Amino acid sequence: MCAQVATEPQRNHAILPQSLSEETSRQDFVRAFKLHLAHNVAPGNRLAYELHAAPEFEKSHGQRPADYAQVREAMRDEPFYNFWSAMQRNSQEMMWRACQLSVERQAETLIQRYRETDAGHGTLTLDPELPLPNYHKAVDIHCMPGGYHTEFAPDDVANGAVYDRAVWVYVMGRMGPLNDDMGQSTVNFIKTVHPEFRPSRILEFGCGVGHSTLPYADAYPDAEFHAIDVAAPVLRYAHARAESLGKAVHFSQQNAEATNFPDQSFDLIVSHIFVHETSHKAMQNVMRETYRLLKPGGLVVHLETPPYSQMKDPFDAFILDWDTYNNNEPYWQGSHEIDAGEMAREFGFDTESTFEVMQPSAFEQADAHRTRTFQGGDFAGAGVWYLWGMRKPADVEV
Amino acid sequence: MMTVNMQKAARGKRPKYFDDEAIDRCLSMVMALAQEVWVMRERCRARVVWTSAASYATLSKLRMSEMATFWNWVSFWVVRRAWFDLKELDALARSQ
Repeated sequence: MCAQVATEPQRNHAILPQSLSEETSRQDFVRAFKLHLAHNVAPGNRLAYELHAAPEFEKSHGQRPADYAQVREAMRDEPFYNFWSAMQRNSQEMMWRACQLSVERQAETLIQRYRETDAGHGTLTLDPELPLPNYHKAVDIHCMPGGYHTEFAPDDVANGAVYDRAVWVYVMGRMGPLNDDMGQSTVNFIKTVHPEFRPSRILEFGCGVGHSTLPYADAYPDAEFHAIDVAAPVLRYAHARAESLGKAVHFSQQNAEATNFPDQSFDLIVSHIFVHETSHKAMQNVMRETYRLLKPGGLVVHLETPPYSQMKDPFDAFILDWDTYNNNEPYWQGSHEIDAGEMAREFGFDTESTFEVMQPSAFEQADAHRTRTFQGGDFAGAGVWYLWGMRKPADVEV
Repeated sequence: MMTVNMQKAARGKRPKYFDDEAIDRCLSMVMALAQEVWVMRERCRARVVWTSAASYATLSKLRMSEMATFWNWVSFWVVRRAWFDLKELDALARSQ
């Protein structure tokens, strides 16, 4: 089953953990488990809703559920939904463990490879004194044990390695051999809508292991490219990975809420599935920092899954909201209610330039195997990404 | 040789899906066992491949067929009853 989805293997690089046959079998099991849930089990939720939950809700409330919160109320005690949720949660936990096994076995080698990284394309600057934001410490986001930040050994790269492999398993290979579909798709959008745009300095917030980072290095080879994250293990891994793949990126350990870059340093600021891993207060700070860092006329683009307001059926929004309560994503719901226009107004951006678009996935090869819905455990299933952003007014005094 | 023991469980409260928490734990065990069954099947299959003169294409088809059979088996034990209930109800609603 999994072989139908991964049309080619994950592309190798110097720091990618290699799996033994039993480890591959465990990962394949999780991949097939997730696909099975998405294609064969998840449709039962809609059936349970239409046949049981919605009519029962209508009986007691005099109307069908009008929004995703009411759908959640209606579905709370629905046995099929709870069963699917339990399976879904298990698939997520099994995915991390299946990927941890090969990383634990090779940890010393992977750390050694990081230490030997010296291709000289880009740089890495770590700040061991950087305080970790509470929204990272409170829970391990998307159930990854230890989150992005926990260090299990000196110069640790373990959770970077786990994340790299687990994303491949999670999206069933549908984000391309380098898991870079989000970066590729955003680049496609920028190149199509702003063909004349030639950024000389680019910044990425919350870069993680650099999956979405590298397409910008290819798209704008003359630009100076910086990528930041708060977590050292993923940054070490990202640096070693980028160097191995021959890409020039300057990684640094910084919080997007308050960076050390001078005012008006960048023409383009991007993020990919970063916003939902912050908090409401943090996003206010990030918007202020974005404004400070952009040059006049500069562009900011964030990639996420669509806001609930864009979903015509409250049941679809409810299914997308599953992560909020079941996958350790406390700001998932809040981030899906962000109003891009309101953000632009509040933080002084050019409101005329605000955009919200559904951008097709850059990888058409996996198109036939998509489910066309946004649902837990099937992150790349819908074949489109939601992009929102805006420009800093061009007439700001320098 | 350095040994790294990674954290096994994610920080944060794990949701309960069933009235009796024992069922939550039991389901996790069933799925872990199913995973081990698959790993064993893959090992058995590898032995067949080593001793087989069949072509790569034939063996790939065999693997796909095994995977489909395996998931039918898992579904039968883990989700099929709930599905049947829904489908029967759906058919009944449609007939009325």
